[in-house]
Amino acid sequence: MNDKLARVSPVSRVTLASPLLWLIRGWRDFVRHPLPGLLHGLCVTLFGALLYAVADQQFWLLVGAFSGFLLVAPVLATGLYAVSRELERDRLMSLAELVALWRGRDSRLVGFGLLLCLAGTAWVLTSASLMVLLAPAPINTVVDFLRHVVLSESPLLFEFWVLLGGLLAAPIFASSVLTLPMLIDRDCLPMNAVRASWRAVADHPLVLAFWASLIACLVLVGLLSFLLGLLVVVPLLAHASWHAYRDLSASASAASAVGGR
Amino acid sequence: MENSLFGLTEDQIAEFGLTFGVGAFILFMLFIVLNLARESKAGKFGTFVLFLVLSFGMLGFIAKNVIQWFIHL
Repeated sequence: MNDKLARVSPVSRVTLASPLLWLIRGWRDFVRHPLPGLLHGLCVTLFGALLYAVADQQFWLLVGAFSGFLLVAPVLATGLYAVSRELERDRLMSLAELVALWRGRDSRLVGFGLLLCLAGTAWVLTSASLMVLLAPAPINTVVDFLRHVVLSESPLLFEFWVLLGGLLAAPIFASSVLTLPMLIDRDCLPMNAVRASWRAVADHPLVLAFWASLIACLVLVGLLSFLLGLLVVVPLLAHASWHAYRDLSASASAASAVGGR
Repeated sequence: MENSLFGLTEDQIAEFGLTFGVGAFILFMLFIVLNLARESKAGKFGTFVLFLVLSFGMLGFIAKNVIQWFIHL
């Protein structure tokens, strides 16, 4: 009987290996229906290049634009969650359906995206203040940042800046890790989706800290490869996030079923 | 003649020790943070924040080294 249940229901046990499984499943989705993923990746890469071209000489504007953009990227990837959901049903979503999804202008997604933008602004203001206080020289360009912060003689300035980034990222990640796929999947209020997201983080703190680090690592690779890596990283992470949502919500349902007995 | 031990030069041994030593140190730090989270009863969200911040710090350390290596190429 248990065997039968295990075969019928998808994986509902979340372990430290789960984030790697989500990436593998995300990669499979990407390979199975690559066009929507590549188009999303291309849009993100081109927009990133445009930001760099416009704000190259205004470092904090550039950092702000990139951080805000990366925070809002999960909202931009909502089309790919829908693609993954349809792939689960053995159906390839057409580009026309994706465009229709965007034209729907779901007010819940727009509202949540705006909240993420606000959080991004607060993030950048805090990091900028830290740099003004601690950097040995004014930071106006990317080269200044590399010279005075990354290659700085003063020990651990860069690491401290990244640590602060982690501290600020924690509540934003906890609020959004399940929210967006859930808003695509269910007709629920954003507040309920955010609560479910925080519950998932509280239920699996180590797994989700590992997942957040993997996301940060892959985005970093995408950025350091002159943005070209984002072509693949964006769709991979979007599809994988869908599978994370599936496993985490299945795990929460299983836990509440056991608790309800 | 360059000093060697078991056919490995001093530089190679130092590089090997640094790579694996830092790796082991990072694992040890993770263990300490896990214990710290348990003993301080940081709660589950506190554990998440501690691990996330530590992971970002390590990622920053690795990224800094990669960027420095890339610039010095």
